[in-house]
Amino acid sequence: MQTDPSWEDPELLTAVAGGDLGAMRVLYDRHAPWLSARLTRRCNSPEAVSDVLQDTFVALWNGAERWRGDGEVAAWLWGIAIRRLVSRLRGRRHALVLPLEEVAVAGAPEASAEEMVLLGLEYGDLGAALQKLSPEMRAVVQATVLDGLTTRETARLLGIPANTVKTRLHRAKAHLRQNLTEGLA
Amino acid sequence: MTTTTTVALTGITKRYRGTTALEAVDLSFKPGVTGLLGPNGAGKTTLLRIVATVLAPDSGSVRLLGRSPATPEALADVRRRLGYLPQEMGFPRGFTGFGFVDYMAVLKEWTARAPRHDEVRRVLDLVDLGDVSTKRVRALSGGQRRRVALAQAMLGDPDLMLLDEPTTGVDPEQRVSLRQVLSRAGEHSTVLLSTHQTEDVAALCDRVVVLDQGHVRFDGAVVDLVATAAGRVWLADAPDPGARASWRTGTGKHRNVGLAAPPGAEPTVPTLEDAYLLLLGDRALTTEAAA
Amino acid sequence: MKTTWHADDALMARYVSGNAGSLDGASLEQHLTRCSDCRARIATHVDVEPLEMVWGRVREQVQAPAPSLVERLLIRVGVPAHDALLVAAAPSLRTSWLLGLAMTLGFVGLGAAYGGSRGLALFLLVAPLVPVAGVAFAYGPDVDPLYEVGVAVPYSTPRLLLLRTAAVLATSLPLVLVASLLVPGLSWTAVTWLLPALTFTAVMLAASTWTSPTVAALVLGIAWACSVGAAALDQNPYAVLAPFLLLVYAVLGVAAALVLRVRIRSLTPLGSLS
Repeated sequence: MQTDPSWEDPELLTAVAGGDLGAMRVLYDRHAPWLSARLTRRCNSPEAVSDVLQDTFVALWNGAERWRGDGEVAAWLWGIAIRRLVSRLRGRRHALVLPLEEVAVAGAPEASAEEMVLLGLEYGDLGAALQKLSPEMRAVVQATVLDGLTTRETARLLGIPANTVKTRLHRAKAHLRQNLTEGLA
Repeated sequence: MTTTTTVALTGITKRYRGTTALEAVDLSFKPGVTGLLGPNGAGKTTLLRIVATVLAPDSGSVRLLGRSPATPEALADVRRRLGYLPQEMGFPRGFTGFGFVDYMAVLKEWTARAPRHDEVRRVLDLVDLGDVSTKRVRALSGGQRRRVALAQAMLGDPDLMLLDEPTTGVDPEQRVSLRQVLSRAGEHSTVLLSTHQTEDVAALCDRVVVLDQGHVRFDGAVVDLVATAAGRVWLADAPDPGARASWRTGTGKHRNVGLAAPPGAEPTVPTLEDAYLLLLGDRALTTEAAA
Repeated sequence: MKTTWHADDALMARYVSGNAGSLDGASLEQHLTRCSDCRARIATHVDVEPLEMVWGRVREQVQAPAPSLVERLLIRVGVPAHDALLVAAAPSLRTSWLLGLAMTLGFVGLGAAYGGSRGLALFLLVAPLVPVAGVAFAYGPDVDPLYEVGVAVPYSTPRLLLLRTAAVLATSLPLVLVASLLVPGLSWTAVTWLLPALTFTAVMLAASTWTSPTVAALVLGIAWACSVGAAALDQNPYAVLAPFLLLVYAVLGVAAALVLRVRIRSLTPLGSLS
């Protein structure tokens, strides 16, 4: 049975579990670009991003049987990739620009109407509330809530102590709760 | 196309416990694709084994690629430029397609890993197995296994390729694609392929050798063999008792092959298979029926 | 949540070049996790070359067979990687074989320790035949499915056979030595079985120039079994290791090695495929 490029991700994953390199190639073509872009936003070393990308897909190859069919393959892949990145960053202080801060580029356009709608759709009111947080708190929320990292992993990623992560998250949640209830009022 | 003789066999005889596999066979081959046809037991496999230096003849002389492979050094030199696909091939447990061809590449003296892996990928792509190269060979279909085995015979683009039933079990689309690969190889290499499929020979070979019971019954161009059946194949509504062979075709008519078409019969264009049947007579018929 | 809104190209371009704001970026990222169309579209903004390079590395890592334990050990002691690949493919050098051998020897050793004269006889029967079995299952038309096609290659067959034999000896003899420690009252006997072991190996290799290793192994096995059996019936299993016999083994071993040296070139028995 030849791999068909029109197959959905779960079918491709099953083929990969059976040893089909062609299916793996299709998955790579589908997911490597966005994974590499997303990784680059957290780590500006192209070498590290390449290595993590390589490790992620090799891990995909070896672990394809363990996929339980729940959720999106894309989310699963990101989970593997971000964890690989974090373990690479262990002890690497010099690294890595965290573009989680607001990028103040001269002449950067304001958020377009589409983007605002996108924000609204993805997060509803939460989006606007998140916007009001400070960059440090937002970074912590992004890492724990959106990327699904543990406190320790977040600490490693952001280069701050674990206790600071906990404190900031706590304060961020308080702020968000306050902003959201104010919005309702 | 060069006219250098790549393979020269003179007076080759080989006997196995009483039966004669080959009897004083004289044959020579040049670059191009030659088909070996013949019923089971005709000596095709034995002939290929002798040319592949896997088997020694009882008598006669063998010259390969311009030399006589008598000494170990000469043997190794010849084997460096040779690719062999045996009729039956087993695969070690646990080997993937890639791993198997890689193993064979090491045996062919590709010692450096990176160029070797590139070559392995090249031959696997030639037989269209790149995507499943990571599967265990034992998990592949029969036709896919045959293609893996064929891939190793093409490592290093050998000057002499000896293929024993390369398309057995291979499905029709793949067979067409393999014919193209082999045809391209025949442009600069000497390819000998033994097969039961007359269509493969007709589609792919310039030259055909028909063996029967250890003797050469025909050695020449495919078109010449087909021409021997001219005027001896005809269609009729019923099987003709005067025909050597007769069978019902898909169109409902009976195809008759015999010594001469009766007057008034509807003649039809002969194929290689018709000529082969005429040449071997009853021997071809009984083994065709058994096949 | 199915959304009919998709990120536009401008946002994607900003995101990929690192100029999207953190919140816009986070939104896009969450969206990408769920939308295969946008994933496909963002691919057009990402540089293809580095991705191809990484694919090449992934493919290599995934295609190349992982070396077995024996293969890694061989490389560690200095055997070239390509030779190690060929040697480690022998059936009697697989991890499963070696584990089975270890277990068998465990039982045999225990039998020798507690089984009295019979246990001892069993040990003396098995010990020298271990390398014989190992070599029989390392090479030859009966055990190697690639034998026929492996003849038509330039790689030197004698080299392969000798390397495999050396690896078999190096892996199996230490195991037997460990088992021999369990044999009671063993002084010299703990090592004198090595002599018939090495002799039989040499005889097998020499015989491989005429016949298949399996046949040679069978003949040797039966001959040795008869000798040990006869000695055991006489209540004296050690008789097979009597000094006079040890001398015989030594001479036989040297003779076999010489024969092998002379006939090694014809180790590709062309006629034996009939």
